[in-house]
Amino acid sequence: MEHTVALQLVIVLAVGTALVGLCQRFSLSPILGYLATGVLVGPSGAGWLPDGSTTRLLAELGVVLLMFTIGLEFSLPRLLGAKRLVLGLGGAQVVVTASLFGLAGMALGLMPTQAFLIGVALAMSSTAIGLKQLGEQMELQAPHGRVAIGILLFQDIAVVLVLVTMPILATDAAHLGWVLSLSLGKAFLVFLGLVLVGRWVLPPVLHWVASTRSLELFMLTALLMAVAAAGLSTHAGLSPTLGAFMAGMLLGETQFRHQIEADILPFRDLMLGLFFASIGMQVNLNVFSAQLGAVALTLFALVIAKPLILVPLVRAMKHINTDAWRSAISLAQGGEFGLLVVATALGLGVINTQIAQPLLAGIILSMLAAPIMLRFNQPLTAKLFSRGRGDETLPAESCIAEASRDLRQHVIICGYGRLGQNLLRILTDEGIAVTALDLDPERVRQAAAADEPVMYGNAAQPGVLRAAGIERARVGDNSGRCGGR
Amino acid sequence: MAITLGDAAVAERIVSHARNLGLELPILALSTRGRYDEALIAAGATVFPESLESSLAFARQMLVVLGIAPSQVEMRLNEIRTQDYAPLRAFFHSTEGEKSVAQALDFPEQNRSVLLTEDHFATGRRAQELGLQQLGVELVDVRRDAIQVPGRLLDTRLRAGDVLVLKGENEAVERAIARLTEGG
Repeated sequence: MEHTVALQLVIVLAVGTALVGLCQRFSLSPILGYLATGVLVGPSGAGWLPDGSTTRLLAELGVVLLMFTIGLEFSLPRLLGAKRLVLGLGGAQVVVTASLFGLAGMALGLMPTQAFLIGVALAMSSTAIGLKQLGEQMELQAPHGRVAIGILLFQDIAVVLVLVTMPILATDAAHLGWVLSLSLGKAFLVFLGLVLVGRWVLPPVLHWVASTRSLELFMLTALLMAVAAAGLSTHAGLSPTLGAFMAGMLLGETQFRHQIEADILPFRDLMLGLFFASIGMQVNLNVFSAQLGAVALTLFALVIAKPLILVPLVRAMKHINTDAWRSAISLAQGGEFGLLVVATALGLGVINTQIAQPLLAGIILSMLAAPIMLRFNQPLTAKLFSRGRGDETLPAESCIAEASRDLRQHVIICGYGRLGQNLLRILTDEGIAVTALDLDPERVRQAAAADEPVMYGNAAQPGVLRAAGIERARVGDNSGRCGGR
Repeated sequence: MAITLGDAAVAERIVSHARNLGLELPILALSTRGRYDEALIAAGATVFPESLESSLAFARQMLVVLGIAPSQVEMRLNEIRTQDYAPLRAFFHSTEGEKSVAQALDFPEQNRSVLLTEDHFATGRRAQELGLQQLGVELVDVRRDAIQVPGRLLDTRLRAGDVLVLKGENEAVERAIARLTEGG
């Protein structure tokens, strides 16, 4: 028996490693690799990994740790700094999309609770895929990138709310109001308890742990805090994710935040991988023949209907048409949170496998297509608006050449980190002409707005250096690697 | 005494130990990270900030290679040292990945720029009304079209299209930006 378990584990890990590696090779999100692993080794595939309680427990732990890290990163000032984009547009996207999908679901004969939960699940897009792909395409700071990120950020917060209220929705609808206020009261008490512990007990404990300089002890403490908070809130009859989120939020205020985040991350990633694999395991491949219509409908809702709903909302926020379309196309997929909502609803018995199967299949298919849609969001939009607006961003090189045209006897600084910026300051004080190149788009934007002579460009490309006027420069300088520190 | 240990906590303990003995000798302590400077100074050491000094050394070398007279170079660098390296401490931080996290810890002060638009809270108000100082944020510069005015000298109302350059610690700057754009 022990033998077979070990062998199973080896096979599953081998398949997982191979598929995730394959995803890396084609720069797809590793989530897809985990999902595919689940489908392959799960009951409907080869059946190597039993859908047992251990797998479930570890996967659930992954979700708890995910919520814990979301809590850690949750920063109120940052949220308030972008409330128009995040709360306004993000809120509108989730609410409108979920409502419309919910109404459509009811028209198809689903119960209202089911219909709206599915609506919310389908309203979610993939943060993991979106952030990564847009980041690689250097589009995070572009207007459509910022819109997409703002909406994704709201979805991250909304999913917490959904996961918290779902167990309540699963209970008898007749006492809904009473149950809801009861658990709100409980949530408040748990929060109060966590705040008290977080204020008075944790900082000294963490200080002591940090002063022992034992990385293991610190890591154990961080894990314990996340799991204990989840346990506490389960004990109070709330969802474990809520406790974990609150604990993360409180610890995010302490100076240990970054250390905790770094310690939790490996556990979280691995167990989340297991979570996605366990979702893949729930996909029955027969669904593609038995319920092809329902799968196609899910896919249609995600890839066609969702962007069509989003575009007018973005337009209403006074963004131009192309930006609205590009952000809508960037978000036209289902996401990991959608899978999470569907899986949780299935676990609670809110929906049955008959409904969940095509949803999971549709979401996963749309996530497979997402990197390609993101990659081509610009040409796709251009197709839709063939007249074009003539504001195509100039290639980096001609921008640099334009800006450096009049420079003579100047110094080119490659890398605009601390050293590069300090050097620029001192050289400028000496009256020497300077121009700098860096690869951090946001930093370049910030500094250039402050009138510092820095431009986006990879100095490792000969064309860029020539554009910066290296033939007329005084001396080339290399303050470390380009991209800066 | 010279303390050349990389571990700032140990260095701090040594300094306080020496000072507790009532010794007045000069102590020069290496500081590899900006975040420990204050603790070391408070303990009673003269700090040698390695990373800032390396910026200066780099700049000196660069100026010498460019053919500037060494005496003039030294003068410029000493000027910065006597200001406690203030001109070097704040800079535009890296905005991506783990590097930005480490940077925020090592060099808490950073520069950020904000472009005002028509519907921002700060547009049409005086810089002094915004109370940035109470938030712990300095308005370094205001750039309007081609001119640049140091923040404390600005005496007109802010307009849409102005770029404000802020300096301060991360959280404070975030709050300041929220106030500039949304009020509150």
